[in-house]
Amino acid sequence: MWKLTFARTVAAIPVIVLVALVAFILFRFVPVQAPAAILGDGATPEAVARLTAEMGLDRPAPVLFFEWVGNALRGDFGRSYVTGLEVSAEIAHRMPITLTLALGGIFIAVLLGVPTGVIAALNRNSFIDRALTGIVSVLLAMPGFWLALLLVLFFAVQMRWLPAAGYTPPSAGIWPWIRGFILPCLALGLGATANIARHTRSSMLAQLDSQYARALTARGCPRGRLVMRYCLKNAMMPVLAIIGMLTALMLSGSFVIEKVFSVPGLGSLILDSINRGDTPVLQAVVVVVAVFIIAVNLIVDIGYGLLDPKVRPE
Amino acid sequence: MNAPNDDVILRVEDLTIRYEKGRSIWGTPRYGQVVHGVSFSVKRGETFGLVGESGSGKSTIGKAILRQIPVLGGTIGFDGETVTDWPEGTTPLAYRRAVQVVFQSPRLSLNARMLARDTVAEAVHFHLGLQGRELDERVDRLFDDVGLARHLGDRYPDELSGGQQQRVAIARALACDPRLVICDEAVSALDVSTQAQVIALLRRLQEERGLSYVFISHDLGVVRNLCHQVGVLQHGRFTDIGLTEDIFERPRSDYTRALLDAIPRFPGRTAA
Amino acid sequence: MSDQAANALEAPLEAALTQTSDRRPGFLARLLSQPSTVFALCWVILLVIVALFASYLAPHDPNASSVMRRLQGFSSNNWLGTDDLGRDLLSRAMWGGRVALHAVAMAVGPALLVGVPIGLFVAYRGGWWDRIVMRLVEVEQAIPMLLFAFTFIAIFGRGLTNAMLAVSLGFAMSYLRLTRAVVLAERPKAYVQAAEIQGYSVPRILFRHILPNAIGPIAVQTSILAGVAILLEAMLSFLGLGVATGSPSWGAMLDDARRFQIQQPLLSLVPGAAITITVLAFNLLGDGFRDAFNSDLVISRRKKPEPVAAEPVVADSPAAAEAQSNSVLRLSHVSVEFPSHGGAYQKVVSDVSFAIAPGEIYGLVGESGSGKSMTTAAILGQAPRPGRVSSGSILLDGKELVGLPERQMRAIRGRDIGTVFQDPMMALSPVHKIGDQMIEGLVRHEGISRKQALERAAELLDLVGVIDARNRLNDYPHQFSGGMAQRAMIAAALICRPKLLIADEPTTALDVTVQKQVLDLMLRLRETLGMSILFITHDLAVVAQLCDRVGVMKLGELVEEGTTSALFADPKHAYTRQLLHAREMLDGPMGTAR
Repeated sequence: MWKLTFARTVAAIPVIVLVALVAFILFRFVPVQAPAAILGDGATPEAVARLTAEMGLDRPAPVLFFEWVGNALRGDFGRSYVTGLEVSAEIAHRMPITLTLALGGIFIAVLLGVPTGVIAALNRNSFIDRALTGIVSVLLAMPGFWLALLLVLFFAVQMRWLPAAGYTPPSAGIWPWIRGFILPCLALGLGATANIARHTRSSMLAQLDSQYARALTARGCPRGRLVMRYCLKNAMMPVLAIIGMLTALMLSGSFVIEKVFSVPGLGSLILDSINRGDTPVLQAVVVVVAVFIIAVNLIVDIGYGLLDPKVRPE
Repeated sequence: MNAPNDDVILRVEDLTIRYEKGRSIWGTPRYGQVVHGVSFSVKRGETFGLVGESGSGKSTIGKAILRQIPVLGGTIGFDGETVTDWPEGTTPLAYRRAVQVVFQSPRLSLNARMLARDTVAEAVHFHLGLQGRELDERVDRLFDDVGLARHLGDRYPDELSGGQQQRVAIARALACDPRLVICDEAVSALDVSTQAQVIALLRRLQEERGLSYVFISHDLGVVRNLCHQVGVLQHGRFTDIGLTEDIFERPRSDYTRALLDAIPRFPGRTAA
Repeated sequence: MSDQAANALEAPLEAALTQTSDRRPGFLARLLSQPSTVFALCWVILLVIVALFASYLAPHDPNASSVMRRLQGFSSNNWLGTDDLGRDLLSRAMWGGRVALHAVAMAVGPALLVGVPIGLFVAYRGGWWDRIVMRLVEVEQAIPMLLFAFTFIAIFGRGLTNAMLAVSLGFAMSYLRLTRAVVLAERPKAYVQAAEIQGYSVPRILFRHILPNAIGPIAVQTSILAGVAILLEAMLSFLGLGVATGSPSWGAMLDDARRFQIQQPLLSLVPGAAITITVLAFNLLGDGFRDAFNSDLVISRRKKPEPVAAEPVVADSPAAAEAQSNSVLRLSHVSVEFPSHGGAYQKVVSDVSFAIAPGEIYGLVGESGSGKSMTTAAILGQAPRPGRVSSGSILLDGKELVGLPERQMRAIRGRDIGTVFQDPMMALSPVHKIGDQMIEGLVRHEGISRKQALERAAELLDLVGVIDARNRLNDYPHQFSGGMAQRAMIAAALICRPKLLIADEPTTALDVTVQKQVLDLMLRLRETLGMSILFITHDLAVVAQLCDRVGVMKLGELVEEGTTSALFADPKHAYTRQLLHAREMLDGPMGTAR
């Protein structure tokens, strides 16, 4: 098990390096490079050249790349061209909010999606199955931010149960903090719920039709036990990969949801940076998000190893 | 290869094959050896049977002759040429035309999205360059040869029975007038009645065309019936090899004897 | 033996298939057989028409604002109301459809053209090409599509084209991965191997043989990605990074709605519904493609002529009469039927009767399509879903099983009837321990503790000849060989000491030497435990060796029955003779026995 974990972790390193390289190369194509951006529209070419030399940006690209990677490894992503603030501090400030949103979303999705899929599968082709499958199809097609608007309209405007927008830090009390996250997490998680439910259903159906399910039934294994103990474990193996993929998607999904609810997460940071051409911030965000996603995939891989006795050495 | 022997079409000497068992978590391949120094030869117009249980390496030898997998050691000689001298991935078209195959599952060995007729016609066109009416006539003749009604050519494989599918596969194999056909469990997936038909067809084709077969099978009954010579494989080595009658009447190894003993027998017919 | 003589022996199913002139319906017919797909197709076609002719079809200029008519609801002039600038929502939605389809075309088109060929190439070439490209794909996968689009916009400037170019690059990777996966899955298949052995060139194999088999998954993927493209376009326009400000796009309309939806809910409902229905339509289309492509591979073996009126079972020896009076299992006139294409029912088992005496081994033989396995499923109350036992009675120790509620049937399975299936590896859950799987029924039937049950499992495993039985209970299936796994399955079937053991082709998946061991084991277990065995097989020789009596099935009917020695010595029915004759031909004139 440790060997597997170690091997997978090592295998992830070149991918991270490559992501950093791709991000680095891409951002060298930004039309307005840093010095010009800092000096503004009226800068003379001489001034720009002077600042470029001052910032050390006239050195060869490989040198710049390794310097950037080296600094990034120490948690230093440089300073924003626009605000002059440290990028890592800015990200450290906003990342927890986005992460809470994303994890809250996937938590809701697993909590609702798996049972929905199982119930639909157990009642194959019945009214319940058709109704659930119908809801799932519609949720899958709905854009999350429209769902967010509808949720706001109903729960905040109509019923006045939950806040329509804004972020309350946990320092202001746990309950207000949670209340603020309920609608954004739902808006983010319902699409993923539908995705998980759909995959769980089809995976579960395959297990219910399997030879071993038939054999266990022929041996007198009660249906409830067959489903909960045998089929569910087998059915969850492919769904695990889906959950991993969705967790990764939650991050970018939250960039949009944050706008609806005016939540100060990574989303607004990115949008501001795009508008202002703030390259160091964008570069850092790309790398941080990629590392998070690679980590999620790693966890899924290892989780797979825990479930599958063929991968798990005794 | 030694001097071409007119009598022998395929000569396998000291063949050793390993396969990639899998990869370690670091990506380095791990090998297992499946065939250990196997030698045999197939005579023109005769059938050589390769028998063994699963994992004995019988299909692997077939794949090596067909150049689907690399060999680790030994030589395969075909009609005076040393097949194993050719670099991996380069097989002369002449050899492809001379050595063909019939696989176990007829359903899987045909392209599901191609009409039966097109499957055969493609091979004829590719090898003989025929077109138009000539091509049609040639394909019709192949259908007749394998005992397949011509109108079935307009069907997709899924619309044919197992026996019919296998006949299409045989027609495709014969399209380029091969001299040697590898039959890899060619009848095991079929119903008994159909098996009998296909075996009879293979035998007739051998008589008409002077074909040689390497017949890979786990069914000793069929092998005994069809093959002139037999090699019994266990864990990649021959435990017995020789004329079919000798092997079945006087098996030398315990394994062959155990294998023969394991065949279920008809009570009524032993008495007869 | 001559070819003609052999051809006279035709397997019944083969004969039936040759006679049938039924063709499966074409692809389009299968696609359109689903109402949801028809709806989806109609919507997409409608959308395309609206998008192409938006300038003629839209009732108003989408950008004509009117302060007088702000935020209106349904009206005869503005059917779906107006937005905060008084622009007509219906017209804007129609023009928005144009933007959405434009986005789909820009994202999917180039991706398809780039991703599929590269996928084909790297999968077939393998080696370094494959490794390098797959690393790049991994990198791309680590950056979410939306963030990737952000990056592109930051570099190349905002606008729909740049955004969709980024999305397209992501889609190309998705096509690449899919195509590669399909090629890798198809390549080892026998039809590709056969093409390689023919000596066909690589492009010929790729484009003529593999690609047609990959089109199904690619079509499904295209349909799904079209939906994703629409969602992404909407998201980007919503964030103000897509279409130019003020342009009619569904996403941009939702951005406007964000501020004014409290005053006028239609503002968000119109574009939201437009997106949802369109994405839903693309997804449904994908499902439709999948079903249509898959059903095309379903072997249409069920199509066979209705059996002619049931012939009477050949009368037989006194042993049978004796069995009738005192039988563990007795089937009388059992029929199993399935709904066929037209909705009418078709019999797969037709009027089958036989009985098994205590301690007797009864063999049920037949070729494919004979209905022998369906007969066992009927006994176990496990006839697959749409099928049903339509008539007849199944008595187990005098107790009627037909029509028994599932709850009571469950109490019988495993306790009174033990079952062994064909492939032991498939009959075991791969992620659970052998011991736990063996005792499931026992714990329930006898209400004993798990520990006691495992004790019994170890005893039985020992009895069937598994060495070190106690420790092997903790093994997982992949640690067992096929033969050992089948022994474990037999032990599990016998764990409650059933009166009847049903063995459905239990040795077909095994090697001959292992088969012999398993058959010997069954004979020995019959001696020690005294249960009856119903043995299903296609192999006459196995029957001859093992069974006391035999029934021969053909196309759902039991055509002949008798004691093994009588049946083999003097087969009455033509089909039995044919089967024996075929085996004789296969084994050569001298027979198998030395």
